[in-house]
Amino acid sequence: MMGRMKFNAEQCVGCYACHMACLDAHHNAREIHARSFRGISKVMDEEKGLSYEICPGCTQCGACARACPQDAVFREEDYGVYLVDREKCIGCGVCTKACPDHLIFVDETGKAAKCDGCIARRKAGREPACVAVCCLDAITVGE
Amino acid sequence: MEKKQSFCGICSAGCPMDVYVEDGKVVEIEGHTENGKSRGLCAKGAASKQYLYNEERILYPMKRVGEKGSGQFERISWEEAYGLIAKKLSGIRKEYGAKSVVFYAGYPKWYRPALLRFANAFGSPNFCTESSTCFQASALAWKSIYGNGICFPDLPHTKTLLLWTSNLFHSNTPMGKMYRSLKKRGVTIIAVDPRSTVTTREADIHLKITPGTDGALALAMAHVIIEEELYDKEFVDKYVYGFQEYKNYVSTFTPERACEITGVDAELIRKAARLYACNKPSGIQFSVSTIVHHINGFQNYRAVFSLIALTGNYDVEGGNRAMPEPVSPCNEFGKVKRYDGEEAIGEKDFPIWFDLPCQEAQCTRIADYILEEEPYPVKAVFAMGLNHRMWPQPNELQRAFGALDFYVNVELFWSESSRMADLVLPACTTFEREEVKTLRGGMFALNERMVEPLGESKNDIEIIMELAKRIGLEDEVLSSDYESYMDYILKPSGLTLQDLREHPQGMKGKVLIPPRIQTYREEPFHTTSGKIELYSLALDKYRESRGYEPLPVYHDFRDQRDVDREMYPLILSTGARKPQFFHARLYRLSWLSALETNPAVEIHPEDARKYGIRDGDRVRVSSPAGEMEGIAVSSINGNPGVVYIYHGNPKGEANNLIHRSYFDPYTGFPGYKSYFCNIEKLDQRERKRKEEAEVTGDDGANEI
Repeated sequence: MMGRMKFNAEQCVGCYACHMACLDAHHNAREIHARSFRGISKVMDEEKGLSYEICPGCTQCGACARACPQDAVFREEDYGVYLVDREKCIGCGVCTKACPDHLIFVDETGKAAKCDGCIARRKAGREPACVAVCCLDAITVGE
Repeated sequence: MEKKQSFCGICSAGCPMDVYVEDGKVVEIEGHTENGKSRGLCAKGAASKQYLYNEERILYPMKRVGEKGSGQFERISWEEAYGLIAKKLSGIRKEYGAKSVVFYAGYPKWYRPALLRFANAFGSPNFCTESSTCFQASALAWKSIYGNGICFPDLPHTKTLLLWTSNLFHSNTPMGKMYRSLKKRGVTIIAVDPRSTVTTREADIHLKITPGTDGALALAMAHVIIEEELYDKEFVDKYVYGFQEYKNYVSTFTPERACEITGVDAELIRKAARLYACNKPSGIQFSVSTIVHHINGFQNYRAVFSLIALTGNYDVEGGNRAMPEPVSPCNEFGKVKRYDGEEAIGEKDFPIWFDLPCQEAQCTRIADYILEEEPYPVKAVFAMGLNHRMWPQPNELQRAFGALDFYVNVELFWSESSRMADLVLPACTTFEREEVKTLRGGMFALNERMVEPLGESKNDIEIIMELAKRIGLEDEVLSSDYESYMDYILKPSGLTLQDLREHPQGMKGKVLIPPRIQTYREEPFHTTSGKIELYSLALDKYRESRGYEPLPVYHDFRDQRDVDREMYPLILSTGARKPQFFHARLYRLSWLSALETNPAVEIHPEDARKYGIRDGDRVRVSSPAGEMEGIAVSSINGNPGVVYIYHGNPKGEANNLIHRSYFDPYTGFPGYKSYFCNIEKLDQRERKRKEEAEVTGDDGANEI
């Protein structure tokens, strides 16, 4: 395995760049309603009197795979990334309830859609789009 | 798939990008990668694909058919467009004089010197830009004290950073890394901001002021620094003019008084003042227009900037420096002077804008100048990137455009701003053209063309050059071609365009001016007295005629008598930064627009309770200038009594709420960030009535 994705919440300032990078990597400009694989969570810092957003993402934890009744979510070998087999997927949505960060979703074609770890980029020796775009190292690939 | 290097053109940061091109199309965009690690981008740069390939891109020259404002245009050729412009502008010049034509540059800024040349050669003194409501007032505040161009803090060497209303994690995300490195290095960070933000979160001290009260805070800090004898006596004695008057004035601004005005704890003000003055060297990092978007903004900023001289942090390592990095000389930017042989628009209203010249006319009041023919008739506007949403009460500007004989807008996107135009011409983005970029540290790079221009869109400077020829204007730089122009820009640096083509990563100029400190030891300050003027003689000139005050005085916007505070009890602050937006240009990018509720009307939970409003409710915000509708967002980040709305949104325009007469008398800058409003939840029945009206007919307020 080549390293799992990590989201360092404390480094994140909710700038949304990772959302855009994810969309840029997976969609063309005319896909107006395209949805990113990253999430948005609200954080409350009581001490500072501040409420702000952060953008967690898939850490390839596998909860969706374990929950899927059809075995439609599988772990590919080289990068440990969990992917959706669209032929097996029946769009039941059980995975969406299992995901701790509410990231996997059922798309407009009725199939589950999730972060693919930018596998194609990684095979080409590049970083995943979100890791590359983050100015603050809030998203990393590591141990 | 080919990987090419480019620079983002959405804001002035110009972050380097790696652009992946396949079959003549941009398929992926990343921050520039070096040693396997990408530099990163902000959300806006990362969404560039939707910018470049946006549905609203203008592709062909379009000529108005039908009534002005009907929105009916037909495609014409560039030939016809050039011919029409040449004919109309020449005709108007003949009949009303060259000055009756206003030349306007929006954002970005790269083509401004060429447009200025065009205006000069045409004979018009009326070259103006969006900087009539951005940056230039900050630069003017600075210049009135120090006489030179605004000086940035020397961050790598500073020990205390006074970050004055800059939410840089959101307004300049790539700078975030530097910000964190300062903390790591042990720099003490004092952040002034009316709101709690992710940036203030990481500061050591947060001075949470009421919007518009920055001057009172700065004067109180000066009070502490002088009273406790923490100021740089030697520097002040030798280089400052007007210290005694300044000292007398700030003696009344005790931290206790400032606490009443600003809401910041008096002891905290003392702590911050002592740190800034003693934990040296200290730098002030400012934001370009947060302070000057108040009716006392100019003086507020003068009060802030005065602290630098007071504490001897001017032009020293770690302070605010004139030349912190090597610079390589080049032509054009900052080098072209505006023709000032005749009175320009705004000159009568804002004399010091012209006395301490920024090489632009002042056009905040252009709607009035057109409608009232003051100081003389304005009959045409030649604009490149005009967005009417920049102005307070933007609909008034549309109305004024209706009165023009001729209005051309060169634009990237179709928007309401071009509705009143006679001609709309397609510009191309940074991806579609070449541009010489001046980088930091005396470096230059060529932003190469990534893809062919969409449709028949063109490089703005090529449009200017062609028009100059058609009208028969004389300017030796414009009379050449664009390649020669790029070489001309580079000439003083010793580099050529070919050099840059051979070095896509950028190249350092052959002529380098090294960094300097304490430049004032060799040359006097470029002020009337030759010293740093805490008491400005440039302002003193207008003491009798205009009531201008030479000291950085504080006047509270709440002390006005024109606005009924019972009708409008809340403070309205527009424009606080959001990471996904940049003024009005990005709402059309669905990927960015969909991230958060918009138009968001941010209110404190206490006010939400008071007005019976819940998160997500549709609300109407009203002010003496107008009204807008938005969606309530309950947030503890601001203080009770203040409403925050981001501007420029066609779905709900916050600038409708700012009155055209509500501006800083020194600079003309609208008080966008401290005004008055009321708020109410939109009634269900009223909502339904509105929806029905929208379906059956236009009630006049709807916009595309």
